[in-house]
Amino acid sequence: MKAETSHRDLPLVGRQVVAEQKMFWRNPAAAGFTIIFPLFFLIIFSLLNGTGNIALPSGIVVRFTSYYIAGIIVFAAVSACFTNLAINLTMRRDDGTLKRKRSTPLPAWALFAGLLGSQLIVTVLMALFTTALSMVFFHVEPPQHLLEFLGVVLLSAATLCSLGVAITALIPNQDAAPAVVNIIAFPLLFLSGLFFPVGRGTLHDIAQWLPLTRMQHAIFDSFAPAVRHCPAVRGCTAPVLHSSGPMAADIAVILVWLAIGTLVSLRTFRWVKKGE
Amino acid sequence: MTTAIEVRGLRKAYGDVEAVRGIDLSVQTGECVAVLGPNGAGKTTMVEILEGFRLRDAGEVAVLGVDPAHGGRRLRERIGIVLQECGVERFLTVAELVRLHAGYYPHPLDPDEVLELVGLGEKAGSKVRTLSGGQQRRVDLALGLIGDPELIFLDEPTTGFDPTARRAAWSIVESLRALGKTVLLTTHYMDEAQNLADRVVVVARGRVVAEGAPDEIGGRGDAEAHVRFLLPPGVAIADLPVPVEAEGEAVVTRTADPTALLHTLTGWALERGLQLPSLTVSRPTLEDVYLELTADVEETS
Repeated sequence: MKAETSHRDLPLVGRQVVAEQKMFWRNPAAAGFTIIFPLFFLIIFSLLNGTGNIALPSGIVVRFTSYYIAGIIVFAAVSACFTNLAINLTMRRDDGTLKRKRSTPLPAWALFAGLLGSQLIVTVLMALFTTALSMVFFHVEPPQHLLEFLGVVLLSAATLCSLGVAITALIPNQDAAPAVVNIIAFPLLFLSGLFFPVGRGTLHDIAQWLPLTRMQHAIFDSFAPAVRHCPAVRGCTAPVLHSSGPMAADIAVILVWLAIGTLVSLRTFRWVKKGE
Repeated sequence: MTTAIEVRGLRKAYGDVEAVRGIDLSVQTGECVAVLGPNGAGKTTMVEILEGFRLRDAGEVAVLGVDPAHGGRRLRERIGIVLQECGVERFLTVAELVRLHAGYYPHPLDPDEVLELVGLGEKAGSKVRTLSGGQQRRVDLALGLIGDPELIFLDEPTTGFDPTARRAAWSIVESLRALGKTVLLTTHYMDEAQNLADRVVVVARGRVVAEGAPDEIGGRGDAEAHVRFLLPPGVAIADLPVPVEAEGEAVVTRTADPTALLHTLTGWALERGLQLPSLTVSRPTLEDVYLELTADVEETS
């Protein structure tokens, strides 16, 4: 179908974002899980390991909480953009809300732009809030490269949104949505080293191709935390800490996943439940 | 008069099942047409093709002069669709939802006026999730009307309404007609079709089996009237001035000229100081005609 746009479209997307925001914050299930889980993980693990250090696969040692904050931000992005979005869209597909939208002149791209904008807002708020919390209570230093930090958070959120939309094609009905989404998300959270580093080996090699790993790397690098101990064989003058190369490589892998998520979404997204 | 909907030779199959097997239909601008038919008769499929939700296999379709398969946003700005059992953003208030939808259209109606029209003025500030089923149906109606459409599709708009709410919904539909809107209505309620529609189309087995004004469809206009009453005490059938048949406790006589027959009958009764208890004159109802037209159709869904 040909794209039909008009001068009214920009305010239209703005109103969709506002409506999505209202729906998100008023829905205890959506807001609660997306906000509480990452905060819960942040506080528990930071309290347990607050003063400790952690050795990265590269041999460099940093404060545990400096490592952990990047993983928590990715976890928050997964909750808001992947888990919440996929479950929410499946419910709207099954109860006919999406069909009703199709009956109006609202273009599909405007509906999704509103959803994307809303989830980006939630993710950025969560990133800033968890960072502030960690700075106040867990000795985390502020991101040294603030623009890179915000850019990577936004890119990661957008990528996870595209994957969240793509995954709905695999979800048969809304009852199955939480199970399908979590079965995919939770192993990935651990495999990608969000909560503790994955040692060298096959898993580590696989993880280098996964989006969450790269998101964590890039966010970690934007923090560029102080090095607490350096292996003797390597120089540690610049705070680039990961073995996987510079941030550009991380961005490239994330962009590939964004492209995959977008293409799969465009080809497989269903507006109504199965059998209709 | 211009044509709002024009359908010629419409066909649609799902696998081996032919849901629509050659439907012709035309609806004039400003007309209210009711589509009746058993479940599985193909009426939902037909309406969803007109609404642009489904693609047809064959036939020609024009809605407001546009093929709905390619109508896109421009066509959707000119039509309003009130769907059955359709979800909505439950965490928005009624007013927020109607305003959001008003923003989708180039020339929407005033959201407050639409809420008054559907009787939700007092619920404007309530979250949609707190509304009763009947109130949510009125939200559906409000969202169908907000874009000030030229053509409105109403899919069983009063299912689940109490009698008062149904009368209220009917008066809304009548007010739409007064504004010159075209209405295509599907319903299972014969009194709804009788009250609202200029024309009734009966669909069965994927085809139109009858169409006409509600009072004339299926030969209703020409059908003989049935005059029914109870025999007055002490009167035998043979005493009556007209030939009747017994039907349970009552007697019935059929006539093409009920005025003359009633004159004879009541004159006879008055002369003798008798009452004719439970006297009624009736023609076959729309429901009688409908049941006859669709009698051999099995319910398939």
